[in-house]
Amino acid sequence: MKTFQFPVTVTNHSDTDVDSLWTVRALKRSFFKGDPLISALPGKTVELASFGLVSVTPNQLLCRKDIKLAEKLKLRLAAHSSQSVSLVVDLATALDPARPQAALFALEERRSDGSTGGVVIALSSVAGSLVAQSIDLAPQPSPLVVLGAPCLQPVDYFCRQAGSAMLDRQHGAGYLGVLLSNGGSTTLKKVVLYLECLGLAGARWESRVYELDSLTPGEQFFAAFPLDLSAAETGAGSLTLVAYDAKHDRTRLRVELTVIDSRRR
Amino acid sequence: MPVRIEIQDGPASALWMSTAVMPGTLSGNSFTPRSNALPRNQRFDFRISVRNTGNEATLQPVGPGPTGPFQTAEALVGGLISPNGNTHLEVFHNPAQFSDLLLHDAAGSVLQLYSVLPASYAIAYSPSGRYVVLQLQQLGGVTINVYAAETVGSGSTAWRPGQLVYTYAISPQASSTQQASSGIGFVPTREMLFLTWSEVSGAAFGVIDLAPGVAATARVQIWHTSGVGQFLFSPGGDLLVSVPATSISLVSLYSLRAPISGAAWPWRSKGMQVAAAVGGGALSFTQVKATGFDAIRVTDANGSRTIDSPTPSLPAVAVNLWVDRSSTVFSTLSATQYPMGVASNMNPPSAFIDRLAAAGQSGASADAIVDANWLAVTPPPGEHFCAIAEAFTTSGTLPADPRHRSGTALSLSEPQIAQRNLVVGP
Repeated sequence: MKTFQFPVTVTNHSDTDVDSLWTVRALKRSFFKGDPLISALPGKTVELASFGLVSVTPNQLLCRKDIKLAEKLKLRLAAHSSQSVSLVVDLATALDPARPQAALFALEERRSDGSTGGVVIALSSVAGSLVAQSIDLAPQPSPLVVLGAPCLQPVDYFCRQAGSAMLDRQHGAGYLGVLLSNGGSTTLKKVVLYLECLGLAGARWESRVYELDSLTPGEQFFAAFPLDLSAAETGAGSLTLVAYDAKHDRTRLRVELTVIDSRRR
Repeated sequence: MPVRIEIQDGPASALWMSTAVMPGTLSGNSFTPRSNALPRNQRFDFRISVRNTGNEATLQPVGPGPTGPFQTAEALVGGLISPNGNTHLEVFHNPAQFSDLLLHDAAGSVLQLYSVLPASYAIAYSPSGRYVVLQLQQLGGVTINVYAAETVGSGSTAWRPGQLVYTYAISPQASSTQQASSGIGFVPTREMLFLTWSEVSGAAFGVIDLAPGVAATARVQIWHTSGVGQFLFSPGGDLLVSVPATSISLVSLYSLRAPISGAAWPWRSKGMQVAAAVGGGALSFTQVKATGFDAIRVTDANGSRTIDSPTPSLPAVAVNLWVDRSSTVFSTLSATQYPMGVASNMNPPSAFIDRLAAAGQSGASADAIVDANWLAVTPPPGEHFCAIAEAFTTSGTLPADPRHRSGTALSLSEPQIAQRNLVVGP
């Protein structure tokens, strides 16, 4: 049985001691479907006899028989100190240099001060050995798209008139409406969209959170936000929406806007 | 520890250099931090990193309300003893052969609610026991008086025991269309009186908010006259559906949450207006989500569909960005809030975050981006200024009301306030 050890350095940057709980679990490739880094790994999976965590001091060499692996590991991290946590894997079968293989592990950390962290480690076979790389997963952006320019209207439901990125201060109070659509090819589940910031000086506005259980490809929805331009200054700014769903990360959709005053032309 | 919002300060040796308040540029979905020396005439954003170190998730200021089937109004409770047992009523027949209505309040005092009752009257308590409803039939009409049975609310706006809270007269002499009969109930789980009475054209109805502190002009939430046959309330009492007596093709939906327009709410699905027409047969409404899109399931003979709730979901966390160039003691009176661009602690926040999970869970921290395009033109070259970020929960109060901060001071000793000093470049 061949054993490999992959250390991870854990640092406590804070001024106080903390407890740190580490857990490890093997991941399936399908967990990262569509991620380019994962897609580049060999398709065959490394056959493992066992795996687990062990705490070691930096540069410490251990004999396998001296190591007791655990799926959970608790550390005490002194203020401004570092320790090492190692992922240890035991192979069930020898690596075949002619058949590249890979394995994925998630090492997750929870600290007593409430902070969380961790790392995804990808192991891949190279010339009969295993090498590790930590994976920064590419964020999965939301496929929501803004359709057309926002519209100004007195009520907060769907505006059938074409909008404009030029907002007239003379409009006064009403609603700023944005039409959005699922621009992806799959149905989105548990969609959340909210207005993060409206960067128009002097404009008064409110945010709302729009939640949708599902949104099929191409399906549209209309989000409206109370807006009062009466005291707005003319000039440029932006509307920033944040969208995410069950399978996509927080994504910002920014729409450039300009406030004009039609009576000052 | 409940919700505790934090923006991380800088290191102990330089608290005012928080990396959680970061100038930079948002491009697409990616934020690129900038140095502290900001070149003039370029556009900037601020990324403000906020986290919850409490063991509870932030709550949205609206909801989560109860879900379940819509229901009819809560009936009044007859008899002379309050449903909660705190007070009781007495009809006192005085020696002059008149009858007075007396309230024995929780403190043991006897208070006269009404003197010289007419021959025909009815007395009942609200389901909560906090109000007494007196219906007086006289001169062919009906007068409805509502009194506080207990102290309701606090401070100068509180109702005191025995206080007349509301009165309304249904008088056929005053209006040729009104009929002198009425139905009275309460909106479920709300201190709102629900009145129906007859019109020539059908049933009319009104919803009156009895809560103390509500301005008299705002007390009537809905005052409507049309041929209505059935009234249904959402489980939390936030919504009212009126179903016409003869045809259910024009079912109206009303919001009972402030601000109230009194007008029927257009039926919508995912923000798009849809027809309110429904098919025949048994009609039912069920609240399936507290707020927002697809929150109400409507079922009729043709099946079921969902429509939006008029009650919007609001973000749970707000973020303010202040800039101060004139003082070393930062306060909302001297600093300028952006992007509003004026010094006032009653402006809407600079940015919002929808929610933060409890500490230790995914989503316990999030960033807010504040569009700071004003920086491209405002401060002169070389000027030093301080960006101060504050975050707070919006639950249970106006979004403009900074929670957790006791006054106008913007102190770095507060966990939800952090600072970053900046210099404007050439």
